[in-house]
Amino acid sequence: MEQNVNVNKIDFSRWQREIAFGDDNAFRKLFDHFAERLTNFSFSITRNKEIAEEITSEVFVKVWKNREKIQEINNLNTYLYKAAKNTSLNYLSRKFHEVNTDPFDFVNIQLSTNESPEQHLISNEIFKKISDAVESLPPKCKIIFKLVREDGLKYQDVAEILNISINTVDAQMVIAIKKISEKVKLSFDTFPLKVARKR
Amino acid sequence: MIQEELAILLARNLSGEATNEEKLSLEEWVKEHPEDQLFIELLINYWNDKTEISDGVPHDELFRRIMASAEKDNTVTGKFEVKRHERFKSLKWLAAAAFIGILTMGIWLILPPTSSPVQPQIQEIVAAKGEKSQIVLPDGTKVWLNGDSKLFYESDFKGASREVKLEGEAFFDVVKDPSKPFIVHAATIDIKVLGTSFNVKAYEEESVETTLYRGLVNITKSDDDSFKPIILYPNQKVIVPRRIVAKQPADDEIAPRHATVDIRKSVIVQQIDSAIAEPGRIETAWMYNRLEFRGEDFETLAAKLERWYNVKIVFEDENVKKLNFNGSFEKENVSQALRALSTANSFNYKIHSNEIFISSKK
Repeated sequence: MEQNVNVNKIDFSRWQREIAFGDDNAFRKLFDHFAERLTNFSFSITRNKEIAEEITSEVFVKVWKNREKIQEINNLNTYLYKAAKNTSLNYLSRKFHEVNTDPFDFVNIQLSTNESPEQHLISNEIFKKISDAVESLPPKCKIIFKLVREDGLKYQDVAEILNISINTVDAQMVIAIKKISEKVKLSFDTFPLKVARKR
Repeated sequence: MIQEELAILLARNLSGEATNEEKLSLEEWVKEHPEDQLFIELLINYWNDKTEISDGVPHDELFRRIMASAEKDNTVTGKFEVKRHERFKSLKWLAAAAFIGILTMGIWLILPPTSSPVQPQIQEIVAAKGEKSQIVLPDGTKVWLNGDSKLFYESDFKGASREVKLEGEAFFDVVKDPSKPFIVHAATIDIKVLGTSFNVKAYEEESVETTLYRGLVNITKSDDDSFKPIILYPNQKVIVPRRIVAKQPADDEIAPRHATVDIRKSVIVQQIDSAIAEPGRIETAWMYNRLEFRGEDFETLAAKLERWYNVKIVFEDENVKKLNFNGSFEKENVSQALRALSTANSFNYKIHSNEIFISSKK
C-alpha cells in the first residue's frame, strides 16, 4: 500500500502545467492522489457513498473540461476540497429543500474507515481506542482533525475550505487532543495497557 | 484529561504548525512531566500510523467514467451544420465555377514511411506547386502537405522529442505521446504540441500562421529567448508577421531595446469560427481540394494561385494588385478561375503557357 504522502509536500504546479497541455497521464496522477480523500470528505457531508463518488466524479470532470485554465488556480489542493464541499452542499440543499449553513453539525458522521487488521505502531487495542475517540468527536472538531491528520492539510487550507478562521481550526485541534486524552485516560484506568514498542 | 498547555503543544507539533519555540517546549514538557510521557508517545504513534487510511487505490472504473463524461462534449467536428458555400451563393462568378467532370488540380500522393536505417536519416517530403502530399510519420502522426512545401523529419523518432521542419504549408494530426513532445520548426518559430491537430502556413516571404483545432500548442521563437511563448487553445490562430519571423539582426545595437515589446504586440492571435465544421474552414480548405480566399487583395491571392495551379503571375501595374476578392475554387482550372475572378472585379489577363499577365482594365 502506498505511503500516505503529505499533500503539502507535493508541488502541483508541474501537474497543472501538464494537464493544461492535455496530458491525461498527469490528470490521472492528480485523480489517484485526491479521489479517495475527496470522496471521504464528500461522504462526511452527504452521508451517502454513491453520491460522494458521483460528486468526486463531477469535480474531476469539471477540472478536465476546463483544463486549459487549470494553471490559473493558485492552490489546487484547497480548490478541489472546496469544489467537493460546494457540490456536496448543493446536493444536500436540493435533497432537503433547506439551505444547511453548517453541514458539519450532524450528531453522527460515519466517515469510512478501513477496518483491516494492519500492524500498527501501537497495539491494536489502543489504536482502536483512539480511533473510536476520534469518531466520537463533535462533528466540526472531527472533520477538522481528520483533514489535518489524514489529508495532511495545513491549518490555513482547512480554514479556507471550511470557511472558518485559522484560530477556530487551532482551537478545535486542541479540543480534539483533549477529548482523545480523556477517552484514552479512561481506558488507562480500567484496562492494563499493552504497548507494542516498535523501534 | 491532560492540561490545556500540553494539548496546545501536541496539536501544533503533530499538525506541523508548531514554531521552533513550541517544538522545544514539547521536548521540555516530556522531560518535566513523566506522567504524560505514555500518552504523548501513544498519540504520536497513532498520528503517524496511517495504515488505515487507504491511499493510492486505483479507481480505474471511476476514472474511465470521468474521462468519458468529460470528452463527450469536447468534439469539435461532426456536430455543426456545414455552411460551406452558402455565403458565396450571391456572387455571380459562382455560376462560372460550376463545371462538372473536370478534374481538380492537385495530386494526392500517399507516401509510406521509409524503412529506418541504423542511422536515423533526415527524410524529405516534397509537394511541388500544384500538388499535395500526405505522409504518415514514424510515430503515426499524419501530415498533409500543400503545394510548394517541404517537410523534413528523422526516419525514426528515437530522440527525446519528435521534431520536424516545415517549409510551406502542412496540416498535422499528431499522435499523443506525453513522453515525447512533437515540435514543428517553421522559419524561426518552434511549435510544441501535445496530441493535437493544427495547420501551419510558413511560406517564404510571408507571415507564419498556425491554426489550432484540437489540443494545445506552445509557440516560441528559436533565435530569441526573450520572446514570451504563446500558448494556443483550440480554435485559435496565430499570425506571426514576416519581419518577426525573419532572423534578428546579429548586432544588438541595431535593434533598439523596445523592439522586443513591439514584437510581442504585433503577433496576432485570433479566434476562428468553431461553428464551421472542419471541411468548411478556410485555413484547411486546401486539404479538401478547395482554394478559399476571403477579403484578400490580388497580390496575396496570386501567391495562393501560383502554388495551387503551378503558374507564375506577373502584375503589370500597381492598381490591379489592390483589387479584393472573396471566393473559393474547387474543380476549376486556371483559366476558368481567372475568368470567374475577372467577372467579380474587372481586370485584363493574358495566359502564356503557365505564365499569367494581369493588368487593370482601362
